[in-house]
Amino acid sequence: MNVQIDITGTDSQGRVFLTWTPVQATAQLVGGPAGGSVDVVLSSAGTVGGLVFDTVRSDHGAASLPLSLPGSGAKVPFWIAGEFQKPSSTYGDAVVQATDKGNGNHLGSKAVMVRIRKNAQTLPAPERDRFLAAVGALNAQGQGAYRDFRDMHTAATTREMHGNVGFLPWHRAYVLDLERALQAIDASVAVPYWRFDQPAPDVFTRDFMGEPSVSGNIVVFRPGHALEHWMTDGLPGIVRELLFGLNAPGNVIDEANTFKLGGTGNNFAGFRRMEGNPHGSAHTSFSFPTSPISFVPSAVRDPLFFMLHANVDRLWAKWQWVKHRADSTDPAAFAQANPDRIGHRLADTMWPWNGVTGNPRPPTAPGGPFPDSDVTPAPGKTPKVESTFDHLAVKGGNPLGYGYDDVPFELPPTVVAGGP
Amino acid sequence: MDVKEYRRRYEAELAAASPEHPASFAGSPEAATRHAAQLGLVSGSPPGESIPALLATVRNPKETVLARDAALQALGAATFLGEDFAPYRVEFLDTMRQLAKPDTASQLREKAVAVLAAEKDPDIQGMLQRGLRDPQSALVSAGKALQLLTLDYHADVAGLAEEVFHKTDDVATKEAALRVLATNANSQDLLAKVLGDKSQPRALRALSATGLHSVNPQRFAGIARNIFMDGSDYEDIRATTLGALASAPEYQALRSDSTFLDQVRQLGAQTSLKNLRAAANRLMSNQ
Amino acid sequence: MREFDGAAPVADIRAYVDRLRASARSGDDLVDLLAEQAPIYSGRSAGEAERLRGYLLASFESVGLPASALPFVIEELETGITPYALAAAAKALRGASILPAGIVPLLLDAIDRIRQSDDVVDFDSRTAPASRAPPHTALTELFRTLAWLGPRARAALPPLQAMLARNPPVFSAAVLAEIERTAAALSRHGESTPHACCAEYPIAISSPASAGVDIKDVELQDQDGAVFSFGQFFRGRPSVLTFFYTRCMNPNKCSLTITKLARLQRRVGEEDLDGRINIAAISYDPAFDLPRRLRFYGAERGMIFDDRNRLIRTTGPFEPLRQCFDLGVGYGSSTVNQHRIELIVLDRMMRPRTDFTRMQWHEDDVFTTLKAVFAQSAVRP
Repeated sequence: MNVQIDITGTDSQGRVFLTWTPVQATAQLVGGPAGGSVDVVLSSAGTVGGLVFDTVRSDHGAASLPLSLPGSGAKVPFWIAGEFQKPSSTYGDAVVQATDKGNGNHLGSKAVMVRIRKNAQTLPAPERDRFLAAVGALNAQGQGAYRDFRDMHTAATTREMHGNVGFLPWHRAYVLDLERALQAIDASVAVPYWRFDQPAPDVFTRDFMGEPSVSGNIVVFRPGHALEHWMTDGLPGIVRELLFGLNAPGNVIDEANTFKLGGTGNNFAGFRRMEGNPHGSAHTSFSFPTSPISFVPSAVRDPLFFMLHANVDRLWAKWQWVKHRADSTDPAAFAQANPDRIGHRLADTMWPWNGVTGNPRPPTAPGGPFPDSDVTPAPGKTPKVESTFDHLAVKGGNPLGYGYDDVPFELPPTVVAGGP
Repeated sequence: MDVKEYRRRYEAELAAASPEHPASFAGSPEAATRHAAQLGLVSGSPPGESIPALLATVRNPKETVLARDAALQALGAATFLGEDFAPYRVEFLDTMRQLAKPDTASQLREKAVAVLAAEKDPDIQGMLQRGLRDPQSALVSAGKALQLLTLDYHADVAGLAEEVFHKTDDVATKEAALRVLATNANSQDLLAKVLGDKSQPRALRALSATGLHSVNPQRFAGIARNIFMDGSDYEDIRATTLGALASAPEYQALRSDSTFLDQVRQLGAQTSLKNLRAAANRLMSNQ
Repeated sequence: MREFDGAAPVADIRAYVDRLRASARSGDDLVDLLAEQAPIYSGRSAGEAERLRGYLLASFESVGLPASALPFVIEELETGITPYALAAAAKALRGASILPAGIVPLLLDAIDRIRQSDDVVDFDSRTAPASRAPPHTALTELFRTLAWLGPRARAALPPLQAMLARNPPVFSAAVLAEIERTAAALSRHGESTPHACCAEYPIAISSPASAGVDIKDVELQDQDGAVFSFGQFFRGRPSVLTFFYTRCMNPNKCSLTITKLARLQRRVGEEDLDGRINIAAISYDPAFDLPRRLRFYGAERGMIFDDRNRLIRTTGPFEPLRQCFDLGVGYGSSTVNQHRIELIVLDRMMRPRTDFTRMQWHEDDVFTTLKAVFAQSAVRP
């Protein structure tokens, strides 16, 4: 007799990647007593990643869950999520274990991963190296799909994503697009964030994103590093000259003061000014404009861009959580486009994933539709601005398939546990 | 961690956080930069309103170089504001052109020249090239000039870069020159020569590896194989060339080269040279 | 007309142009100097070539814009992304005595394109820019051309009024003042129908440009590394042949060309002609555009690849093709410095039948031409 566990979002290779968002799952008895039932306990048995369970969709799951499984093999539903602040390091270090409540026998288990975006400064070396290997493979010395991402973010396309209310939604989708491209290479990878308002000396090293060169030339990597042969725009290497001490934060306002931009009403209209500072200030914490990341047209030439923007996105996600602004229908959660421009209204689809070209959109749409994920159907092939809002699906529906190590899943006051 | 408790603690942290005052950042160059960033971009007013003040500071010769430089950095951040910055762009570029002169303080001059080079201004490209030919007239160092000229691939300075490479003994300048040449097919002989020359500095050999792979992958594969198999060459360059092969899966000939693969496999398992071991394992995992 | 090559000092060229301007001679003398492949640009960087060309174009304001120069002007307005080139085109237009229809939307598009990348422009080498106030920028030149059109550009009034109403403004005070003057000029009483020389721009020109250079044996390589001769691929089927390079920095040119080529492929597939027509693009930059680069560039833009659909480079010099088709491409010391949009429809004997140059082509127009050539090929033995 054993217990089979099935979890929504299992990929074609039978793998499960969870975030903090509860997903539906079922447990069923195989080879159990006909006409009877067996009491089992589901528990989190992994060495690193933690799991929580509940019978309803809630934000207070527990580390174990008793279930009564019919001998007929009927499936019994439950909800499973990653335990907040216990993300995985590698696939399989989070485990659902089923145990016979009566005699303690092990009845089955399923190894999964709680895949979460983490602070790059404290990212363990194996995770760091897997991330770097995936980025290097995506770049393929200038001949890989990274070129797509480079072509999306240029001077010619800037109005699609800068200087207007769509800045945060567009970049959320952009980072997620890249992350899914990395996961197609190595499914265990999540984009780490560069927390620019704190010192990050372990990020700017030969082992990670490169040590600044004394001469102001390209950063130095250790020999054989996955990004050692980085190439974009037909140029090798990354120039990145820090304008802050290695043991100092970037030249930005900190997280708390970023949140104050929303004003006493916690309005998006104020919060979005973070596009200037800390976002723009983070970019220009490097010599402007010789470091490509400091200049809009060239910023994506430096892969640090995506770690910078993961932090920008994390700030938005955290603000949305703490100020209850994840609902796109809440007028304070967004703002009117100014100027009123396509791509910056809630119901607009976003370029380039919508494939729309020609004035007022850019002339081409590199990269094609938004990539699918086995983990979730969201945001779909042609995401709208509004579909980026609720990354953890606290309101219900489908999450975007990622999370941050310091932004929890919490049901908003208007939603009770057991809701959609 | 109970999410309600987490919220409670975090909200307390936010409430306790002190506002950032410009005055608290006085003193160090980094602080001045933060101050300028604050001045420019954090206020109740629309973002664009601070830009004229920043421009005035940059232009004002009575201000300290430090303050002017910090304002210039803040303007760099302001360029990320998109259309909010657009009305000031012409004035900004005009200001840069005023600063890109020999009598401007070098810190400001270099930055102004860099801005114009990033804008692909042909006049500044011409000035940089003249400076490379005639160092007396140079606005910035040779290495910096080459670095700035790479901001526009169409500046077309490969010939000049090769001249500079051969003329200078300064490794940083050579590196800047080689970076220009790294994707120039006509430079592949030079790239192959530097790559294969054990007396060359590591940085130059590594850059040559990247470049040669870019312009002639097959030629690179042959040289890389020889370097890797040469136990007398430096561990780091062997790891570098192996790393280039690892992330470039087009080397069909090497995939069927059992001698090569056996050597890679052995090194991946045994060597105490961790860079080489890591590169070897990465190549084997991509097979 | 004076001949110049790539070594001629810029000052000499400008002086020659200034003399032409002063003498109010016909602009015909300048038209030959506009071609991308003209010796005047050989060996110069892209920026230098653009400045020279812009200076020439701007001169048409005073010497008059001949009809043969109009495609160059339209091309810049349609695809140009730099302030200097757009300003030059705007000035050139003010030398025209007859204008094509559709000029107002073109000007408005150009304004929109450089709205965030305006810069000062200088087309008068005789006086220092500082002595001229206020400085002319690309945007002010574009608005001046609209103002010059006067009531004929009345259709531009609503967008201009919208620009003036924007708060906060996206234009500088100087440009806003120019917009106000332009709006006033457009609102004057007067004829509101623009003169037209023809209903459309001359985008399709029959081109027998095969300068006696035999290219059937020129060796080519495709995106998968396969090697073959020009004749092996192109003979026997009608072909669409265009040119591009992956390092082109103008998204309205090569990137869009290959994107549209992919759309043409789909159209051909829908009409069941795939396999019976070749669709190919050849790189101007064969040394850099190695197979893997070609494949990725095309795939990223939606191209499908098979025996009849390829992205190609020459394994040797590109020059024989350039000569054979008299391609509008110029080279600096190591790479392309400028090029025009170029698409050629070849018959099954590899003869050019129709040439779409300079202006943006639409895949429907190319397809119509292709079908006609295909039909003719089917009839002939």
